[in-house]
Amino acid sequence: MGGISKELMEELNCETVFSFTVAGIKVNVSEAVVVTWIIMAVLILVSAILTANLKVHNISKRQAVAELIVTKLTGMVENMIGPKGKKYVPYLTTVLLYIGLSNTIGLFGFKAPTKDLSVTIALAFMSIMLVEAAGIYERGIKGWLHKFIEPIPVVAPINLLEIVTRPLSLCMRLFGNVLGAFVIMELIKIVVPVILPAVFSCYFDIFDGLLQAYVFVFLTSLYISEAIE
Amino acid sequence: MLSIEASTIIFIIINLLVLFIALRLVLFKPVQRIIEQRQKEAESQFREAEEKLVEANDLKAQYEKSLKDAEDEQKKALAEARRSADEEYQKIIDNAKKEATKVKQEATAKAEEEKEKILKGAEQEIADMVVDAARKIMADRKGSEVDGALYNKFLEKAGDE
Repeated sequence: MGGISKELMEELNCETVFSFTVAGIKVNVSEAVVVTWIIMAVLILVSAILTANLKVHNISKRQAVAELIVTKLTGMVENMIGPKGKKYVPYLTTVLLYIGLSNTIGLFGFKAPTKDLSVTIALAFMSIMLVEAAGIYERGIKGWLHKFIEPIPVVAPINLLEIVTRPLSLCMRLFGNVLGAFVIMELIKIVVPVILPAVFSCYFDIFDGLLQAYVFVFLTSLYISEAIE
Repeated sequence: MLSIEASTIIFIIINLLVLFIALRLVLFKPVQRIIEQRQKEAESQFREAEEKLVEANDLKAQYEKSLKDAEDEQKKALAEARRSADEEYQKIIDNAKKEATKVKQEATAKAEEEKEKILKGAEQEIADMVVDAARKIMADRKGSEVDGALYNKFLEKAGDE
């Protein structure tokens, strides 16, 4: 058992791939960051290939795929956020693609970046920044501040607390789900090495991974639409 | 596992922003632009079709109107023709009637004349016959002087009558 736990801990740890020093500060580049670069490269490359020489008529299959992906994904996000938040759709779609790919990249032998708490913290931080920025942008500083004493001033502390709890829940939900799925998968692999892991992998890596990406974007868009209404 | 690294957080935030901008440039913007262009084209085509439809309807109305005008014209011409034909007919009938009357009058006049002639002829004949008969009778009894006097007397008598 000791061997198993040690192995697990090793798998769970996000190692520092390399580090460099800038102005006397040692900067660590972790595995999650490197895998993120790979994800970015894949996403950008695939999009560039799909959207190469777009036409209005007689579209190629490539273009049809690109249009299908873009319209489906943006349509999905638009449905969540409503017509008023249209300008936040591209960012949310990007996050959807990134988290979706991060959660499923374990299938290709990479360590999922979302298994690193720092990554989910960054994502949640970006989300809450976007939510508050959207609120300020759409309602003005006064309107944004007024939102804290709605519907009655008594709830102001709770509303203030939400600034912290919302990103915290976003970050922990994503991290917990991916980590939990990973741990369960590892345990299943140790107990039954054949067939069963493949079945559970479909659920934990693909279904749960994409579901968590959806949930993360769904909640963020919910917060945004709430902030801008 | 649970260690939080500031460098990772910052790197991920930068990566996210870069990914967002890149995807916006290579994926969302171009595709959306193409879709918008297509939509615009479809709309313009739709508008064009509607305009054409209106035009066609106008043409149809115009055509129908001209058709109706032509029909009216035709009717009018037909009525005119019928009227003039009637007039002509009446004229011909009148002429014929007049002609007939004239012919009848002429015929009557001629018949009258003929009658007169025949009557005169008959008178002459009768006078001759009377003279003949008288001469025959007179010749048997007296001379030829008496004959002449008698004849004149008869003539006078006949002329009086």
